[in-house]
Formats: sequence, structure tokens, C-alpha cells
Amino acid sequence: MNQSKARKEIAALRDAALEDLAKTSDSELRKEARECGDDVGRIAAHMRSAMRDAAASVNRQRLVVAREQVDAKSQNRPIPLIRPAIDRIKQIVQAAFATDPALGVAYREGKVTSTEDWYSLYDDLIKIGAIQPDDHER
Amino acid sequence: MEARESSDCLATPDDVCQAYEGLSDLELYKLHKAALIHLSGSEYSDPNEIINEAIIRTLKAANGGKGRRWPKNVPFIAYLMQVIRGLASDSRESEDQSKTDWLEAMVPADATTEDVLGHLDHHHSDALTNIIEVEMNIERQARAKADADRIEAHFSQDPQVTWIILGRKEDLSPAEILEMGEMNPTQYDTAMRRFRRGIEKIFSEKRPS
Repeated sequence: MNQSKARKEIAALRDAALEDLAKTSDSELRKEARECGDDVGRIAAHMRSAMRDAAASVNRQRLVVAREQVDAKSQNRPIPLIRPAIDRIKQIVQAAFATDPALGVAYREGKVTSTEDWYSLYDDLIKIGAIQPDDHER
Repeated sequence: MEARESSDCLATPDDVCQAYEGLSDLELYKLHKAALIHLSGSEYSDPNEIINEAIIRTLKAANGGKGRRWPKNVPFIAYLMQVIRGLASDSRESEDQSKTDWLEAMVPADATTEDVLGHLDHHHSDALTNIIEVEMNIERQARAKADADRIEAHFSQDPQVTWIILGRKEDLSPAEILEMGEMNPTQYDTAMRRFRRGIEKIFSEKRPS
């Protein structure tokens, strides 16, 4: 047999099997699972977990890239000695995230809890030029 | 206008996440079976690995990078089945992946594949590349022939499935296979089901060494 033909033939057989699988109904699949002793719930849970792991790994990569971009933008901009009130800082930071979604990725959507965290986030955003202190001091 | 429709049709990362979270247990089971059909001979060792790769490629494309784009007018499960098929096929045919596999077997315990590649490239890379390509091609072809033989042996006592195998190998239509095998449509459908389940079984078993 021509060996290259063997590869085409095996690909055609895989495709035929996939076509049949695609049109197999849910009830037939359930019946097959019972006959084979497959635990559909367990198999589905593993597949779902693999998908979530994949999404988490893509998000981690995006976070690293976004942080690198943000760090590259940082030019040691001077931070004002006097900050606005904490409630105003929260508004300013949230407005910055709303206008630039990449910041949200880099700074985990601004999910901070303490006042110190808000100050730190505010200072960071000034450093990278995402917030212009003069704009809101007036 | 066309460009607008086209961009509306492409999935965002949120669309992708919602789509995979929305898959039912039976749909995930179906994807598991699709992976079993295609894993053999590829670099992927189990269905979870290939589905992980399929989602990574899809999300990367949805984020604007290189990868596989999901057109939202295609059902997500149908799209994923085709991605699984494509990834396994690319892997099976990939020179680089095969070269790496082959070299890994040659690597001494205190070195890496890259060390070996660098060492060999430094000396006579062209000749080695040619030798590896020829070797890998022979190996892939032998593997395909062995798979075909296993399938034929598995169904040797089932004449209807044997007709399907012969027909599909020769790119015949279902109507032609029905006629040659003297089957009615119901017999053909049930023979196709036996064929597909047999393929899943054969490809989920360890290849004889």
C-alpha cells in the first residue's frame, strides 16, 4: 500500500467517526455511557475543569502583559503631597478603570478594601499617567 | 456593513467563557469522545489536555492575539469538535513536534533536547534535519498503516462496518456505500454507530509497542 495513502485513509476514518458522533442524540449518548460504564458527570467535571484551567492560564498571561505595559509607562511622575478625600479618590480611580479597561486587568479591577490600598492604587495610577492630579484638584 | 457584521460575529472572551460554562454534561461527554477519536498519534495524551489547548487558542484569538476564532453563528460544541480535529491533525503532522519527541529519546540524562539540537545544529544541521524529516515521515506513515490495520482487524467479523471502512477510505458517498454493502439506511446508521464506537475503543487503548 502507498504509505501516504494510509495517512489520508486513517484521516477519512476519523472524520467519519466524528460525523457520526456529531449527530448522535443525547438519549443515545446516555445509553452508550451506561453500556460502557462511563460516569458522564465525572468526565464532564474533568472537561469543565480543564476549560476553566485554560481560561485562568490565559488570564494570568494577560495580567503579566498588562502589568509589564503599565510598568513600562511608569515614568516616576511626581505624586502630590496632599491627596483628595478617600471618597473622591474612589470615584477618580473607578472613573480611570471605566475609561481604560486594560488598567482593570492590570490592577485586578481595583478590588481593594483598605484606605491604604486606595491611596496606593491612586498613587500608582498617577505614576503611570492614568490620573492627572491637576484635573481633579481644581 | 459587511465588516460590521463580521466583527459582531466574532466571539469576545466573555462570549467564550459563557459558552463553555453553558455546555451540558452530555455535550462535554461528546467532546471527550471527539478527543478520543483524534488523540492517537498526536502529542496530546488525554482528552482534558487537548480541550485545554482548544480553549487557550480560542481565548487568545478572542483577546485579539493569534489563535482559533470562534464565529458565533457556529454552535460552540461544533466549533470545538473541529478545533480538536485540527489541533490533533496539526500535532500529528508537525515536523517540529515530532522532531522534539524523537530527540527527547536521544537526550542523555544530564542534558536537554535543546542542548542536543544546539549541538547537532552546530555541526551538521542540514544533513541531520533531512535525516530526521525522512525518519519522521516514515514513522508517521507506519503509524497510520498500523492504525488502519488495527481498525480492519477489529471489524473483520462485521461485513457492514467493513463496507463502511472500505467506502470511506475510497471517498465514496453514503449512498454508494449503501448500495455496495446492500444495506438499508437504518442498517447503515447502526453500522456507522458500531464503527464509531469501535474507533473510540481502539484509539483509547494503548498502542501496542
